[in-house]
Amino acid sequence: MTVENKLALITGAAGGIGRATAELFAARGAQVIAVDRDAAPLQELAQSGITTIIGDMTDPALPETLAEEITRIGKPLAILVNNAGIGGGGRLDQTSDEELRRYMEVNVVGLFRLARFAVGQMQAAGGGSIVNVASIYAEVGAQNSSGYSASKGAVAALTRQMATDYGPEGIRVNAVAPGLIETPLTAERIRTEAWRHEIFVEQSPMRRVGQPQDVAQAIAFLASDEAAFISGESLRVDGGWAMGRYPREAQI
Amino acid sequence: MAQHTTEANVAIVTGGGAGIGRAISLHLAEAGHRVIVADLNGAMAEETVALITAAGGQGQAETLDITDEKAVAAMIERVGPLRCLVNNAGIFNVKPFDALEAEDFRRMYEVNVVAMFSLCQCAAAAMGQGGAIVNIASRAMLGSAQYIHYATSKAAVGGFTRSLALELAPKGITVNAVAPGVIETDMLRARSDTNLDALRALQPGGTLGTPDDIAAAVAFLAAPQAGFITGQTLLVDGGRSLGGALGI
Ligand SMILES: NC(=O)c1ccc[n+]([C@@H]2O[C@H](COP(=O)([O-])OP(=O)(O)OC[C@H]3O[C@@H](n4cnc5c(N)ncnc54)[C@H](O)[C@@H]3O)[C@@H](O)[C@H]2O)c1
Ligand SMILES: NC(=O)c1ccc[n+]([C@@H]2O[C@H](COP(=O)([O-])OP(=O)(O)OC[C@H]3O[C@@H](n4cnc5c(N)ncnc54)[C@H](O)[C@@H]3O)[C@@H](O)[C@H]2O)c1
Repeated sequence: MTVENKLALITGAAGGIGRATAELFAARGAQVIAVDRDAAPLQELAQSGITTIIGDMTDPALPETLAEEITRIGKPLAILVNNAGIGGGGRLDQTSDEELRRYMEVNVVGLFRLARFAVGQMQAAGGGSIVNVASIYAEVGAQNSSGYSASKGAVAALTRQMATDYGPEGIRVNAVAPGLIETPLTAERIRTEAWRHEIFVEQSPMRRVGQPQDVAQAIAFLASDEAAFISGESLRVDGGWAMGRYPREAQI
Repeated sequence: MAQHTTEANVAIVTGGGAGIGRAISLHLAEAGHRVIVADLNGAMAEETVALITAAGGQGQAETLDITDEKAVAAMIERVGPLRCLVNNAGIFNVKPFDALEAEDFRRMYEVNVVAMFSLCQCAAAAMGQGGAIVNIASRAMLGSAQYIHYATSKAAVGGFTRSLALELAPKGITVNAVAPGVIETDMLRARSDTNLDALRALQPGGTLGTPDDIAAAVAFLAAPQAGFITGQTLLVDGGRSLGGALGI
């Protein structure tokens, strides 16, 4: 996959999917700038030659910091992976304004701001590729997570909007919609919450949850030149989960 | 793209003698598959295999009419363990609604839908535990005037893909589709009734797709790295469908 030698900015790179993506891009020869607010895990990435920046998605000054770093590197920004995000939450009647704002502030406003920054950089360079990490919850109904789902729905709509607006300038914008992915944060829940295991493993067509690498591979494909004619798409990486539950025969 | 090192690295590409199917065959061979290039036109399939061989890959030509169930079953039996099937062969023609006859529909469905079913049924059995099927749909599935028989046959490919994905998932076989937008094949360039510049003007990026664009998406979905992606129809249309069926 041709991300080789390209400068790629990956947010939320200290977490499950972001980290797998940063490592995959680096392994394929991309020059990676990894951003996260969580400093300790970033250090491990730094040891493998990845440029790391401690920054918060909710900080309006983050683009400035990134611009300085990109100028220092002296290469145009070719790829943005807008991955940083926060999840969880409950139904609407259990969700306060404040909690809703928290999802929106990181998952939408922060992502929007970084996308605006990247578009500016890419316009100057004559093109580029942006991959937003949305969620399967942006596409199908699901229990709980009302604030989170609303924020990811915004990401899905923004992806199509940007792809339309910037296609003529050679900027492709796509999204991935992960199903349940096993990360340090979700692993415990998948193991201990029986209902979650039942719905996302037992009744899921492929009988497993995803790994961060599954999503990283899809992101790398959409970001690369192999996907040069793909824009405005949202690719589900969910083991078929959103198509419908598929219980084992004994249960039908 | 990682090279497959497993024994069952065989891929079948129907309609591999021309256009998009030829590019798919070349990409899959480059990814390490031994590619069975199956086409109604055996001479063209041989040409594709020659290109594969010249590039250092492995291929084999098969003269096959995909609507001949017995011939399909016999070919898959000969081929043996299978890792990948790409249902690419398809037919297309333009005919306004009031001129269409039931026979036009039947013929279209026979090639674009029923034959895909026969191939999938035989291939899934030859895949055992684990494999990948990729079907070629079309953005026409969103709704297209002047060829409703074609558009609906491609919409059927999407529904078929999702349904079979559910049924084969427990066996570790993924089933996905790629829906090309307008792709600049030799055939399209040769058509006198097509104004390529007018088609380009409908594209957000101003360019039509190439067979390689489709082949790269197929190769991605066919690779083990896409093992958690199933039932999807990936539009590869340069963003043409962002505004719905009519384009933007
Ligand atoms: N894991 C899943 O099941 C799943 C499913 C669908 C979508 N997603 C999405 O994938 C993306 C990555 O999630 P993950 O599962 O790897 O989670 P994660 O929690 O492991 O990683 C998210 C990373 O983003 C960082 N981050 C959060 N808020 C930030 C902020 N304000 N500024 C800077 N960094 C911040 C965190 O520090 C963390 O390192 C998220 O957008 C998430 O919504 C995950
Ligand atoms: N070219 C485009 O713009 C475009 C757009 C959307 C979808 N598609 C789809 O992509 C696929 C390939 O299209 P293409 O443009 O490369 O077409 P093409 O006509 O150039 O090639 C099709 C190949 O399939 C073979 N074929 C036809 N009927 C067959 C049969 N019964 N048995 C075996 N082989 C048979 C032909 O001999 C030919 O080699 C088709 O399914 C088509 O519907 C093409």
